[in-house]
Amino acid sequence: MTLLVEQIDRIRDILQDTDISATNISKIVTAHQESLQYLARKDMFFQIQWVNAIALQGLYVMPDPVVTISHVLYNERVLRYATETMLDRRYHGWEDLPGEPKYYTTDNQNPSTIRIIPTPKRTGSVIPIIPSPLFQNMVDNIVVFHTEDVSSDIADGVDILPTLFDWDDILVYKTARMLAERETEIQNLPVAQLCRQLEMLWERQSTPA
Amino acid sequence: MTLSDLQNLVALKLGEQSLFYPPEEITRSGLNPAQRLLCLTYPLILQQRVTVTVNPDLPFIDVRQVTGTDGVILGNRIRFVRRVVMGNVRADAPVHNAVTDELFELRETTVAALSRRANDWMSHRGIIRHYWKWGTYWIGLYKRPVTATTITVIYDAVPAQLVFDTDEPQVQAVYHNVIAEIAAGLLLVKEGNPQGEQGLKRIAGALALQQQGVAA
Repeated sequence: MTLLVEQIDRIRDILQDTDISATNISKIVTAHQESLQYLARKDMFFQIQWVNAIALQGLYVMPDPVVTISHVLYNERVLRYATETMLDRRYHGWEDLPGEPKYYTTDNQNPSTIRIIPTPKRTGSVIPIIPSPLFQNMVDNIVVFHTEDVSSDIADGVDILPTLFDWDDILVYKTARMLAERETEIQNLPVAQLCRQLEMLWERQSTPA
Repeated sequence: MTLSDLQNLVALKLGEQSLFYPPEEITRSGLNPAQRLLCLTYPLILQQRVTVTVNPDLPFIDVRQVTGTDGVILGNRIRFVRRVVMGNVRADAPVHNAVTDELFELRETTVAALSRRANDWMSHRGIIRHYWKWGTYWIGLYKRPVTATTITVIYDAVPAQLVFDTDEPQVQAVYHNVIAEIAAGLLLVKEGNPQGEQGLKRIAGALALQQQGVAA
């Protein structure tokens, strides 16, 4: 597992950056978060999230920032994705329709929020089940397969990157490039160009066979 | 070669400028990423197997939490799951799954394919014939096991970090010089041009390996 501080050391190695002031470290961390978001936008951080279903509640907010929701299960059964237009055609007043959930939508919802349609009639149990990666019961509850943005969790030196080690390397070269390209007194375009090539080399090889 | 030997070799390649290239930097910015790049380019160099006991009714596992043969949690070192086999095929003598007496390869499927097949696929329990992956780290068995089941996961591994002076890379000794050459190339990048460009050429040259067997 890689600590953020180890990433920062590698970035400073490449930039030959001897400035250990809090301001400078903060700039590196911010650039590193930007790199993490680049990977997040490529749907690289997969997650399976358990959500407690509440009777007559249709809207659910994911605890972590979601990039893409791919599959939703309710009571161990697949919910189909539906747009608002599809739901309007099918049901009158679907926002206030209790029953056995069949659909989910992210249309016109806040970020990281899903709406379950119809709204469940039962509240799922929150009693933990061990062992399980979810630690919770899937019966009468919601399970969401999604990708997430982990950048906000990686802001402190002691934070551990949840990424594959190969991606840590991509993050180092991407962040170093970003910083070396900036119009500052430490701008170093040749190093930025070399980092770009290393970043591309790692990304090219990272595509699974 | 140990980490200490490799550090010395890289230092020699870089002209023994220990102030400009301190040993810690050689390890963190040179040797560790170098061995990862080597295994990323040629995954067959480091494929590993780990056995996992899947408890009854378990819907899926997070392979990051699986403990390897050395008793250490695999964490973020599983790059790509290649095969999943029912039973234990880690050692020379394969061991059939205790309950069903089975030893065979499970077929890969996806969450999308299972969802198309049946709305209630997650609730199916019974004989296991498939496994599904969600991203790099999540693996589920279909159907969900009704008894404790042993499976073997065969995966492309990311080499363990070199930390202590006596640590040795997990790859064969024949590749240790390649790691040192790639590390030297990576470390030269900070010098900009023309040394950095030369460093990239050294990396490309070192990675032009001829590997036996199936192409990576």
